[in-house]
Amino acid sequence: MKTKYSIFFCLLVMCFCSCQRQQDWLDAKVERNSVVPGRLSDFQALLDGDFLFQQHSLLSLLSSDVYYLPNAVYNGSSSVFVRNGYIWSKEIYEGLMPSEWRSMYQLVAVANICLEGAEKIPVTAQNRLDHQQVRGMAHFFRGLAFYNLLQYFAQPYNAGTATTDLGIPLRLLSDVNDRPGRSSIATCYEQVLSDLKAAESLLPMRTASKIRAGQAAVKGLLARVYQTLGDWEAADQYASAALSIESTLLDFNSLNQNATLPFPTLQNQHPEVIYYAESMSSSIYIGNNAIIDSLLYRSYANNDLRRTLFFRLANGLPFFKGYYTGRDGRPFEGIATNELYLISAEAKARKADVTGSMQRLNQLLIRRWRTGTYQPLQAANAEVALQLVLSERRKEFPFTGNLIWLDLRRLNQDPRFARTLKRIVNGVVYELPPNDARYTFAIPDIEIQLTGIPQNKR
Amino acid sequence: MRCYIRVQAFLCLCFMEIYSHAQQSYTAKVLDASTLQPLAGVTIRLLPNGQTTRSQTDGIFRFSNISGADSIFLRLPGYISIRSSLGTPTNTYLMTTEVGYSAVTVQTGYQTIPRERAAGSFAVLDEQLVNRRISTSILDRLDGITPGVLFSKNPNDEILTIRGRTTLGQVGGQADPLIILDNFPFEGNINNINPNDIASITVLKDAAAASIWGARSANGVIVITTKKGNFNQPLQMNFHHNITFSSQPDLFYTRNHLLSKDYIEVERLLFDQGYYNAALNNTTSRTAVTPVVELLQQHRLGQLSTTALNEALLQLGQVDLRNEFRRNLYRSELRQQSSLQMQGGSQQHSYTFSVGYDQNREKLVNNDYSRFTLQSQQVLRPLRNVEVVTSVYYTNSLQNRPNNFGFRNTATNFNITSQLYPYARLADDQGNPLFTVKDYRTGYIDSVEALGFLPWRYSMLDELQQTYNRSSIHSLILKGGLRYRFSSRLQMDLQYQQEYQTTSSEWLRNSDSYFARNLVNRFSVRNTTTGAFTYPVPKGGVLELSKAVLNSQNLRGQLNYQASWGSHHRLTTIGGFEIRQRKTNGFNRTSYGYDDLFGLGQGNLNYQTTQPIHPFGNALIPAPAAGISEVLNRYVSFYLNSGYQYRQKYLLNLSARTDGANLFGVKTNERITPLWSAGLGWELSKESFFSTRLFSTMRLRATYGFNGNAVNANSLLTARFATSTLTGLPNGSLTSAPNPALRWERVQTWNLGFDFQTTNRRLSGSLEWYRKNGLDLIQDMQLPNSTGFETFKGNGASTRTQGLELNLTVQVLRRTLRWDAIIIANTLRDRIIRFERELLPTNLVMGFGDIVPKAGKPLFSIWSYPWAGLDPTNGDPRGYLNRQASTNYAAIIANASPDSLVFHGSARPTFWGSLRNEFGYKDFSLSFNIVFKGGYFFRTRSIPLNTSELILSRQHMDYYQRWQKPGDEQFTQVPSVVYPNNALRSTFYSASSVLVERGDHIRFQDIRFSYRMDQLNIKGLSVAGVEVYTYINNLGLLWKANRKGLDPDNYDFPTASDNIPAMRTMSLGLLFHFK
Repeated sequence: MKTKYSIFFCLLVMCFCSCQRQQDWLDAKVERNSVVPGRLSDFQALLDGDFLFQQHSLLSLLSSDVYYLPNAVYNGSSSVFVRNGYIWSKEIYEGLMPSEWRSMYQLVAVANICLEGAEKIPVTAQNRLDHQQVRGMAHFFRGLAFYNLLQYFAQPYNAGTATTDLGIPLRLLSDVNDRPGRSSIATCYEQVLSDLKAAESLLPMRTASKIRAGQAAVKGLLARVYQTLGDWEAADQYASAALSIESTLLDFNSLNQNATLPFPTLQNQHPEVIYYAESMSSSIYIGNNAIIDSLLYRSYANNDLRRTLFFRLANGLPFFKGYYTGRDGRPFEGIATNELYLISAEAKARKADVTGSMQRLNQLLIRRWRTGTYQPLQAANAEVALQLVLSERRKEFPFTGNLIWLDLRRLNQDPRFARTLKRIVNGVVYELPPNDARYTFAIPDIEIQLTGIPQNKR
Repeated sequence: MRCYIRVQAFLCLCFMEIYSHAQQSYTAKVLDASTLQPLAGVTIRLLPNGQTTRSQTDGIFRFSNISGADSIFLRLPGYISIRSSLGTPTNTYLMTTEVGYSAVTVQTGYQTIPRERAAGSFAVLDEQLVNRRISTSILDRLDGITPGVLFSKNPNDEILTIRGRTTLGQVGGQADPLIILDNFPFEGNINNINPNDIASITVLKDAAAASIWGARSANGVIVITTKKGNFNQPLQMNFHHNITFSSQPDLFYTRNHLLSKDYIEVERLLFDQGYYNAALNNTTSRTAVTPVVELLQQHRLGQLSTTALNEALLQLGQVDLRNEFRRNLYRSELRQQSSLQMQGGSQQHSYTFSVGYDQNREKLVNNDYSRFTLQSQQVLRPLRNVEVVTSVYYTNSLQNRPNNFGFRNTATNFNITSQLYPYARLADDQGNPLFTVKDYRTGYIDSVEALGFLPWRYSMLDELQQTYNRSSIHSLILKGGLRYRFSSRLQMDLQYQQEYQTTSSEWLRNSDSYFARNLVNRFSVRNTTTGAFTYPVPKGGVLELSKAVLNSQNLRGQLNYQASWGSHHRLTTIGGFEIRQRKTNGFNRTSYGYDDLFGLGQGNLNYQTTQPIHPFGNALIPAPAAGISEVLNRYVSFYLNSGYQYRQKYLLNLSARTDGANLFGVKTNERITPLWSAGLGWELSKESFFSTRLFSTMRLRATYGFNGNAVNANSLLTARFATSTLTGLPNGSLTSAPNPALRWERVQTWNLGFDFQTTNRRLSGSLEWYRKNGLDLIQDMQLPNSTGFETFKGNGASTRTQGLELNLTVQVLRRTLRWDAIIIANTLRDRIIRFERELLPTNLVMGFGDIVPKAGKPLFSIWSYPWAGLDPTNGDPRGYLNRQASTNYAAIIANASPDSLVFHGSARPTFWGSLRNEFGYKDFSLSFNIVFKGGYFFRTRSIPLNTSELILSRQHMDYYQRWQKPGDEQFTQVPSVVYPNNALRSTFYSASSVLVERGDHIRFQDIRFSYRMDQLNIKGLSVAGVEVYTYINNLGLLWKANRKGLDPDNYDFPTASDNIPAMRTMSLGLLFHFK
């Protein structure tokens, strides 16, 4: 009988022990490769996420005027973004989510998570650099995302009405239950600048990978923002500061003109790229679909290597091949040194520094022309200098992310440069006059339904 | 259960009247033990000489000479056979029916309870029912014969549901029932279980039955019990062999097809519209165009005369792709199954041993499956009160599937997304493989092959020879148990099980396969001056190996207490704890340049930098995965289950369980969930006031309780990590938005049951009513995209399901010809009660039977846009806008509201069941099953209304019914097809009410015919029984409600690889039973 009870007792003890240990035992994580981000390295991995530098924008380039589609291609396309974006329809999405909204707010979400997460980690001598890198990158991303969102979903910047014009929801908390309304455009730009200046104070001079921003990248982005705001002093100052860190230009003479994709990829280290990001790809970019505007193509001189490195001819028609990403159909949407030269040149021209402006422009163009053929440009006055810079800007950036669209919105404010865009599809003429409401995209319907923020007029 | 029947038979025999008998002749009578009615048609055999006779209608039988006989054997299908010694001559034998209600026991996986002492809801399939169907998988054996269980043929759904679904997702199998194999959850591949090893299946349906399984029981529990030996049982052996043939796969059933000549017509039209110009002018990626487009282009360029073109097109127009596939890629199935099983036992030892082998030839050429199973169980009783149980279940299966070219499977596409053109010829008249277009223009391939590139053409039949794709499963389940009896009342059980399953797959596309040649060619570098090639991706095959290991461990300690006081009180209680851990991990690797002869691959490839590729562009060589995946689930549970019976009339069941798991990963109190149930039973027929003699059994049951469902969701913000192939950096991606308030799903269940049996046993059965309330169900809650997420998981939903189950057995004839009719009928009504997200009308009309959560409507429902017929002028589909017929699709879609949409009803059957007739005549028996499903709708597919999509994404027979000229609208509802694309027009049509059909149908499921001989004596070997049977399955539809002639169970689901209806199969089988 004694043995019986001792066995019984043992069983009870076992039960009891398992109660004690149960909690520890159940703390094991379910999936080995998933984790609740809590360490600086976790946050860095989030910030290095592939999806943060891919799929930035689509509609802005589709709506630009550097290309046109033959009727057969337009009719054959099944993408609503192509079919509606190409003719600047009032209604574009047909229920789909534009990547402009989705991917930029993903950047914001990651940035907020990393900022809040990093705040909980005390700074020590060992982790100081990593800590700064995480916070700097988070501010950089948030600034970049808010800036881009303003270019798509808010009216072009107008200093006079910026305090009342509706901007975008400034989401500064990671809490998904937070429902910020649309701030004014002025407030939004203040936030962009404060994020980017915070990033500037934190980011290192140079980074291990081009998908991370260093000093040159954040200063370059600041230059772009000030250019949008028309603050030419600051734009030039930041562009020049960035150039003082990174001014390498790719000599186009070193590239193979017959190559199908002449520019080095992210992995093959394009020397001009200082921050790497990509636009969304569209099927019309690939193959012989999107024909380059003939006026634009003809504007390149014969000795201008961009003519052969950016374009290929098929049946006598020009098609784009000069993606700075080195990937077919993937426009570059990051920051490269060529843009810094052009921002600085434009800012100097606007400030009437004709010599300085032409110097910047010539520094760039001499790398674009066949060796020994380039005649440095000269301008009689600031007006001519500005015209020259802007025309080179258009020649430097066909199929470069959202820059064409940003320039259209920005330059339309100035009657000297305002243009009406025009398409003819199946015999119907579509026009987009300067400063038309359709220069601002609609906010996705589902966002309006869930948050109640006001919609844009189109 | 067998044991129980044995006891009953023994008791019956005790009633025999004993007479002495001196004569050599012998006359006796055989009666039904309970009704005392004479039994006719009983086979009576004298042993050992084998003289046989049969009883007459008055139950009397007679042998004229019984000299040399020492015993007698009586057999009647449906009754328990009797073998008794002739030494005590009798003139009356009593036989007990097998279908006796009280003989049934239920298995919960924790204990075995006689049915009358369980208040819960159970469905029990005995060995005979389990073996009625012939199939490789054990679950198929439940189909059509189990009350409350509904099988789905849609590959997107869970295989079966028990009393409907009470969870919204099906991620990681969260809607699947829990499967128990001999006391422990079975985690491996269900096909590892050989149905021939199975003695019974119990389906636990309500809370009282299933809540013992706690947090994983909400979808119902299926308890599978293997055959076991008994103590003091002489050796018994069973040998079973069957062979199954199928009819030819019917490729002409599919509607996803256009005849070649019409397809060519469409291509010509598109060609004239310039649709192919972009592809034909393409000098970069050289995307393939079909042979007809090549011909048309040659004609346009003047390289081909009009006569030659028409001649060539006429030729192609005669090819029928379905015949090409039928001839070259399909065949009829052939399945063979053998098993040998032995069992027996002595006083201290009982054992079971079985081996089984299955070999299946599948319907796609070159694909086959084989399975070997071995099972052994030993029970030792070294001391009077100690039992030691050990068992081993080993399975090795091998699946060989190089052929994935099912009709319209995406693997047969060209240009990745375009459906194969219907004039493709796969082989010439001699059977030699022919090339079809794959990725690049033929002209381009010609030009580069001339330069020395590897051959770049593609033929499906060659691919079958060059591909080797097999996966093997080794599964081993080891079990050890110790049972110690403290006293007659108290008993302790310790059980441990380890389940180990390794799945290894080997996928070799060897050097001559298109995949390998294409990869090598794309990256190859040709020196333009010397013409020499270098190969960044080395020549050779591509081998992908993967391995997944499942290891689950279970430990259970349990105390059983059983006691009676006086003659009125009886108590059975079990209580214990259980610890489970389930761990799966896996990895895969890829070798390029693989040479199968030497087993050599090449590793030093450049994965870091982008390289130029042919025909155009540049790319990274796809780097093989380097990581491993691992999933770990842990559970700790404590449970208690108690049954109390008073005066054998009143019954009380109580059950409680707490579960903890490493899911949810937040606060401890949310991690552990307590679940309980209670049940009452009342044996009305034992009450004194119950005076009717019509019924021998009448019982009322009522239960209430909770089941849980562990959904693998996370309450914290989690990220998944990997190494980026683009940057080489550690890469995190957010998987879910956090929800700190996440809880387990619970299901609250009510069950009322009524069991009855008439005194003459002509009618027996049960009727059950249930209601299940799904509480705290986890749903995807919508978030504004500006949060960076689209959805997050929250306990926002609840559902209510209720239904009736009727299970009726009628003994229609009990004479020489026996006829039993078994009727199973189920109704099920489910509703979404709460769902915290308003679905947009465009979400409601999507889907082909998916969950459409809208409060007040069934979980699975079909909605559509109201249909206003075709526009008589141009054949446009019309809907309603402000109650007017309209073709403004954007406005129709934008202004749709749930009130303006058509709600058809449930997408899953709301009533279903079967009528099974079992006939017996002498030693022959015949059984056939007719099943019906009804009260539901399904969305059919039709053509896309855009000419180009008709070619690209879906060729469909509705093309022939399309509107073509005014007046056609009187005969057809299929709109005209247009070019250029009008996306919304097509979207509207595909979701309009004209494409919704009723799913109701009646199906003649199967027939089983068998002949059985008992007590044979073949050359001195005593064979206790031989059964020969034939089984025919999938006999076809008897009636269907839809107007289109579609089989709702075989209709083309968007993800199905082909849509060939289930083939009619015929099985022949032989079963030997030795004693």
